[in-house]
Amino acid sequence: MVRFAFVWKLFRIHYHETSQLYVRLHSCQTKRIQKVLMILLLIMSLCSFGFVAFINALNTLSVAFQYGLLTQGLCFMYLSSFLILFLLIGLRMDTFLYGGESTLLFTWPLREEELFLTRFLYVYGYSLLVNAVVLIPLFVSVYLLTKVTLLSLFSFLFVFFLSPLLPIALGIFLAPLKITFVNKKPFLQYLFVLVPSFFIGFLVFMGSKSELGVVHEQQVLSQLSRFGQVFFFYHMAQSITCFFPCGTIFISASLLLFLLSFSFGVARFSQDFRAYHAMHTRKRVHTSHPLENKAHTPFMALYQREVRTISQSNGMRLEYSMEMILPLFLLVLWSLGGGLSVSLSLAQVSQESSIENLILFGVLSLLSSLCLVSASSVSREGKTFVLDTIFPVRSTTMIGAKTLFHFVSATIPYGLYLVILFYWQGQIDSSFVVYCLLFVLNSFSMCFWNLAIDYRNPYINWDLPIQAMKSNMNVLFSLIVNVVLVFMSIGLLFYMKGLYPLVCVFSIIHCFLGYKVCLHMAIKQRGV
Amino acid sequence: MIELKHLSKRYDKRSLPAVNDLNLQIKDGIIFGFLGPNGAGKSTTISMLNGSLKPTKGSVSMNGFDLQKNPLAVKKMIGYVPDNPLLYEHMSGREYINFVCDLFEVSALDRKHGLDKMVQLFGLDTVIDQKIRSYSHGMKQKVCIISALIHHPQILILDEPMVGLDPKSSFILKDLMKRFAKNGGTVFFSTHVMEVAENLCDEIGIIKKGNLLFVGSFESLQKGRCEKLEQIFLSLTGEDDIEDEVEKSLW
Repeated sequence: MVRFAFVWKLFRIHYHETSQLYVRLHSCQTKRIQKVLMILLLIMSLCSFGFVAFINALNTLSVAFQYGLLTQGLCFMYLSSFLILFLLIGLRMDTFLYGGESTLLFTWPLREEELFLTRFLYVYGYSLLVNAVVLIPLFVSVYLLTKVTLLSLFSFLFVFFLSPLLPIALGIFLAPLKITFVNKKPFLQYLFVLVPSFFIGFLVFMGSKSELGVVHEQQVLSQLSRFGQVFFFYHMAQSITCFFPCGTIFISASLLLFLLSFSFGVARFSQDFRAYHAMHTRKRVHTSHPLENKAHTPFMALYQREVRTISQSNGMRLEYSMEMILPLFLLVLWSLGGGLSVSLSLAQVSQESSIENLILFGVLSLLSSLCLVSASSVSREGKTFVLDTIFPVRSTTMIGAKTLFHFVSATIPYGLYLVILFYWQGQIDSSFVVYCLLFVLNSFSMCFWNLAIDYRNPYINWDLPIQAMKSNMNVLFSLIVNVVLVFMSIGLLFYMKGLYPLVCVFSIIHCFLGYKVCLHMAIKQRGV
Repeated sequence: MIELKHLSKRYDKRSLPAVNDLNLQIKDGIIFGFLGPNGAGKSTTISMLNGSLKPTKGSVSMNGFDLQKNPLAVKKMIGYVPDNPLLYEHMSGREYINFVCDLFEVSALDRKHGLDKMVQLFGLDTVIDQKIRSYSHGMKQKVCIISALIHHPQILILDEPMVGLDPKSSFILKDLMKRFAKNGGTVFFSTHVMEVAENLCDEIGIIKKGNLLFVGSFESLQKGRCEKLEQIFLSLTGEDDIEDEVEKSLW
C-alpha cells in the first residue's frame, strides 16, 4: 500500500528543493517588494501567454464554427496543446529525476511506487499550470461561440485534468530510452529536439500549402481538414457534445495510459534514477584538448571559460541549441496560427516595405532577446562564482569576455537570421544598414542590462546546470527589460520615419547606460 | 605582511556580528594559525581577507596595499585555498591551472616548469588531463593548492587545507608552507586539527563568536604550563567540560 502521508511529505521536500520560485519567495535574502514584483511578473507573463493563446484559439474556432467544424477545430487545438505539453514536459521527464533529497533517497525506507508518485505529482502539477495557460483561454473562446451546457462544462473539466496524462505517459516511456542513449552518446540528446522539430515542420508542411499572404480562413480550414480528426483528440473534442461514448472512451483511454505508464515508471524508477545520476557524477573523461600549457590573455581565458561552461554541460548545450532553433519553431507556430500570413498581408495592403522591415526587425530582435546567454551568464558559474571575486581581473575584462560571448553566440546567429529574412523578402535597401546597426546596438544593450540584472542577485545555488538557465528568475526579469527595449526601438522607428540617426543615438544612449549599470553591479559584487 | 584594523562583519543589521572589531598584524615569514569552534567567524574573516566578502567596518591591507583601495594589487599577491574545493568541474585539472595562470598572467615557460613539478609532487600526473568532475575530494584539494601556488604569491591564505588530503599530500603541504614562510612569504590558515597548529604555526589566533580571544605564539599561550594546545583551546573557548557532557548525554 502507498503511504500517502509519506508521499505528501516527500512531494513537499522535492518541490521545495527544486522550485526556484519557492526558494526565492521563501528566502530571507529576498525583500518583500521583490517578492511582490516576482509574483506580479509571473502573473503578467502567464496572462500574456494566455492572451496570445486566447486570440489564436478564437481565430481558429470562429472560422471552424462558421463552417460547422467546431469539433474539428477543438480537436486541432487539443492536438496543439498536447504538442506544447509534450515539448515542455514529456521530452524533459528525465529532468524530474533529480531532487535535493536525491543522495539520501535510496537509504530511506521508502517504496518505489511512493517515490515515483512524488515525482509524478510534481510533473502533473506543472502540467496543470501549463494547461491553465493553454486550455482555459480555449474554453473561454468556445463559450463565446456556443452555449454553455452542464455537459460541456463537465467535458472540459475532464479534458483539463486528464489531458496531461498522454504527454506525461509518453515522457515516462521515452525517459529510459533518452537516458540510455544520452549516457552512451551525449550528442544523441539533440535527437530529442530535432525529431519533434521535424515532426512539427512536417505538420506545417502538410497543413499549410498556402503561400505567404493567402487568406487566413483558407489556411485554417486546410489545417482542420487534415488534423481535425486525429483519433484520441477527436474523442476529446467530441465529448463536448456527446459524452457517451466519446467522453467515456477518452476517459478510459487516459486512465489506461496512466496505469500503464505508472506501472512502467515504478518498475524502472530506481534503475533510471541511478543511470541519470551516473550521467552527472563520476566519469573518467579525457579531455580532447591538446595537453599543452598554452598561455592566453585574461580576456581570452575568460571568454573560453564562457564557451566551455555551455559546451561542456549537456543540459546547457541543449538549452542553447533550442534557443537557436526557436525562431524557426516560433515562425512555424505563427504560420500555423495564421499570424504570419495576416501580418504580411497587412504589410502588403499598406504597400509599405518599411512596415515589413519593421515587423521582421521587431520579431528577430524580440527573439534574440529570448536568448538566455547573457541573462544567466553569472548564474551559470554556480558556486564557483566566488572564484570570480578572488581572481585579480577587472570587472571591465569580465564583462568584456561575457559580452564577446553574447556577440558570438546570440548577435551573430540572430543577425544572420535577420539578413536571410530581409533577403528572402527582397527588402535589402538603404534602410537595411540602419536596421542591422540598430539590431547590433540593441543586442549589446540587452546583453549589458541582462548582465546587470544577473550580477545584482545571481542564482548560484543550483543542483543541475540547466537550472541556472531554466529556473532563474533573473532570466524572466531580463526578458521583460528586453521586451521594453525592443518595443521602444520599434516605436521610435515607426514614429520617427526617416530620422534614423536619432533612433541610433537613442540606442547608443541606452547601450551606454546599460554598460554603466552593469559595471556598477559587477564592481559591487566583485569589489574590483 | 597582513594587517587587519577594526575588521567587522555583520550579515544582518539585527543579528550579532560574525566578526567583531578584529585587529591583527601578521609579519612576513610567519605561519599564522587561525583557530576557533564552528561558526566562530574563521571563514568569514578569510573571505574578507581574500576580497570575496566586503567588511561592514574596518580595513584589510597586505604588504602595504589596502584591499578596498587597491583590490587588484592585493588579489595578485594572494594564493587562496578554500575549505570546499571550488573548481570548474567541466575543465581538466591542467586546463583549470592554466586558466588560473592566464588570469594571474604567468608566462608560458614559468607555468610549464611549475605545473609539471607540482603535479608530480602531489601525484596527480596520471589524472591531470581528466575532467575535474571525475576527481575525488582530495584530488580537487590538490588542484586548488597547486593553483594557489603556481603564480608565486607573496601571501598564502588557506581555509582548512588538510581536509581530504592523504597523509603524504598533507605532509607535502605542511613542508611547502614551511618553505614558503622561510622564503619570506606569509601564511594565514585556519584549521581544526590542533596538532597541526601546534607543530606548524609560529603564531596562533583563537576566535570565538567573532571575537579574538588570543593572539601570540604557542609558548606564550602555554604560560609555562605543560598542557597541549587542544586542552588550552577548549578551556579558552569554555568547552573544557566536554567529557562530562558526552557522558551525560550518551550514558
